[in-house]
Amino acid sequence: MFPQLSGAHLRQSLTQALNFCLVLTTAFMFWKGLSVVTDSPSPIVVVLSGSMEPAFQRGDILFLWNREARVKVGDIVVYNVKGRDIPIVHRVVRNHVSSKNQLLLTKGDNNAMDDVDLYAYKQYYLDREKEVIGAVKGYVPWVGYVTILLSENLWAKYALLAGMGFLAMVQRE
Amino acid sequence: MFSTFQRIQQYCGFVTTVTVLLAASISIASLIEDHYFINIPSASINLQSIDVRFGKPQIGYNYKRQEYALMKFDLEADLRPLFTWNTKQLFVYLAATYPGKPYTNKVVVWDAIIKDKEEALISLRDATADYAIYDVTGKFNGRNATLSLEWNLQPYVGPLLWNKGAEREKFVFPPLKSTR
Repeated sequence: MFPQLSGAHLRQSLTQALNFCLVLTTAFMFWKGLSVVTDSPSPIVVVLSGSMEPAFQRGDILFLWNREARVKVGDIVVYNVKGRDIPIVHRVVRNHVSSKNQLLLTKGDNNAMDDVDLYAYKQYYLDREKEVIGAVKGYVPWVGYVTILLSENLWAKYALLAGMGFLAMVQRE
Repeated sequence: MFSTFQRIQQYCGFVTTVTVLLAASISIASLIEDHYFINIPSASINLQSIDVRFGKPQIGYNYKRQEYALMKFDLEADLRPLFTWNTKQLFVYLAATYPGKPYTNKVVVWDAIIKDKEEALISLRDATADYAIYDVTGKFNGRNATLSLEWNLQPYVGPLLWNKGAEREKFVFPPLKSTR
């Protein structure tokens, strides 16, 4: 089962490890490259909550674009409130634009109230430059559900790691 | 070369490639269709009444007491041409745009989610706006405003599309009705 530390086997294992690293770094490059092109720290997001139903369900994948200096009312934006890690995907329902900045109010389609309660204390509007990380331009359903399973279900994470480990040991190419 | 594992791997790879190509071609087809083939639907908006009051525009502890405007309107729109094979839902909204210093403002006063083609024929009479308009400064001062109908088309797969209706209705914010 375990590779012998001699000659060809060692080279084979090292090549395998190198290929694995290459795959990882290529994926990372792709991700960062997309970040640069879209000007967003997180250009692809997975929908985590049901607050935009029926448009978005949990597990849908959204493609963001952050190069618009001003977003419009009706756009769907992803934003991070200061002090909270989870990005929120909601629609812009109000918009106050000046030459210096843009203030937005957002609301989830499936929520009765707008997002003022989700913002920081005494904050009534979002700042487009500071808190919005992108506007949703494209959509693919369901594909992201795997990541939700992995992050919320510890059992699934271990199963995946075990499966990958098993495959790595059984495979020989 | 012909082990079960190899076959599963190749099959999964093939399925992935085909799915990605399918999603990409649907997206491109949707974009072309939206650009060249969908006509802008007809709509008509009629503002019945608008009141400006003072107080909390919406229920909730986070709202300040200020001037806010409530509207009643008629709306007729035939949005059925927008329902294509790739339309999952249509998010329709009525937005009021008005100027100010230093901000130009745009506020959604009413919205609706349409999921079927049948529901896309909108005929509202004397509807009340879902949301009150309140300004960043807290006052309206009789400014001019425009009401317009816009929509966001959400596909099953592909790009989200936005568009404006051809219809606009102009109005003026009336003075404060009562101070309570």
